[in-house]
Amino acid sequence: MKKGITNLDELKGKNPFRVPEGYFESLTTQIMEQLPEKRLPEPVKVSLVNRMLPWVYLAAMIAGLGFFFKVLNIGDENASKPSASESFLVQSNTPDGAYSAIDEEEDLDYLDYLESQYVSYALAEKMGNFE
Amino acid sequence: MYLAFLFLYYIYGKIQRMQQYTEEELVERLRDNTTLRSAFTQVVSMYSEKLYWQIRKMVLSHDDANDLLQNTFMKAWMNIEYFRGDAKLSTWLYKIAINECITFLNRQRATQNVSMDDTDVYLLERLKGDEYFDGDEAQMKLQQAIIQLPEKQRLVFNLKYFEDMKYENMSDILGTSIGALKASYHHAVKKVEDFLTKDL
Repeated sequence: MKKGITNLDELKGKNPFRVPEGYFESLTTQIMEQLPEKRLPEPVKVSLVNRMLPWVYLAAMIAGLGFFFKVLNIGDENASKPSASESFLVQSNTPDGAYSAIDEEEDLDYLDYLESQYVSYALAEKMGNFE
Repeated sequence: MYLAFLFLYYIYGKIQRMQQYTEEELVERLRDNTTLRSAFTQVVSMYSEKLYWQIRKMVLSHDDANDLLQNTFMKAWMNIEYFRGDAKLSTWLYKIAINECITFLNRQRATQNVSMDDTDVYLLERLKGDEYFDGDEAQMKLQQAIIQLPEKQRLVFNLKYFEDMKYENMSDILGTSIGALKASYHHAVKKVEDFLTKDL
């Protein structure tokens, strides 16, 4: 087995390529001489008006939307006006504690009481009729 | 004594900072018309030798490598305004150089009427006729082994074996994941070793 041919590590680091004498010393000059003159493109200047235009468009769009919703709201207001029949309705208020003051047991006792009162009233009325 | 130490430390810090910002400063100078040419001269002197060897390992002949290096810097010069500074300047230049190499090799294949899978025999012929190659039998065989690799593996092998480039940098240049690059290199080494031991 030929030693030195099979081992990649042994071949590593050896450069079999050569360059002409003084090649790298003059390379930069040689490359630069071939490059044409060049000027970078000037950055495009944007005028103040052009810079403001997107904001103007945005403001106009918001104003337009606002106006649109305003128009829709006017329609809603007209729809929510009370009709003629509704104007006769009377609002009645129940005191806030009225329902909560009656608990379930009291409620049943009260119903029993009302029933007995009604029965006695009805009997008294019947008896009175007989008399 | 103490003051002298402090002064030296200050100078050392300054030098360190200057070295750290060299590339950033260079990029800034490349964006200014008044400093553009001198900054590009600095770029050429910094990277021309490295790029030359990378190109030479791909195309083997000195004359071809020299032409491709000129083309690489010409393209970089003409498109310098498109370099945004997101990547390193060296990465950008390597990409241009590698594209130039691939275009050149494809053009050569087309003129020689050789398919992608065939061994690039013509490259070997050019190498044998190159007066600037003085490798021994083992070196010639190594080049022959490298030539028979697929293009991507050849690139990865050259960058890793000859330049010892980090996989991270290679990934930026070739746009391939580190895992895929490691696999490519592993396959390439295996093929080269097999080729070298084949006739023994």
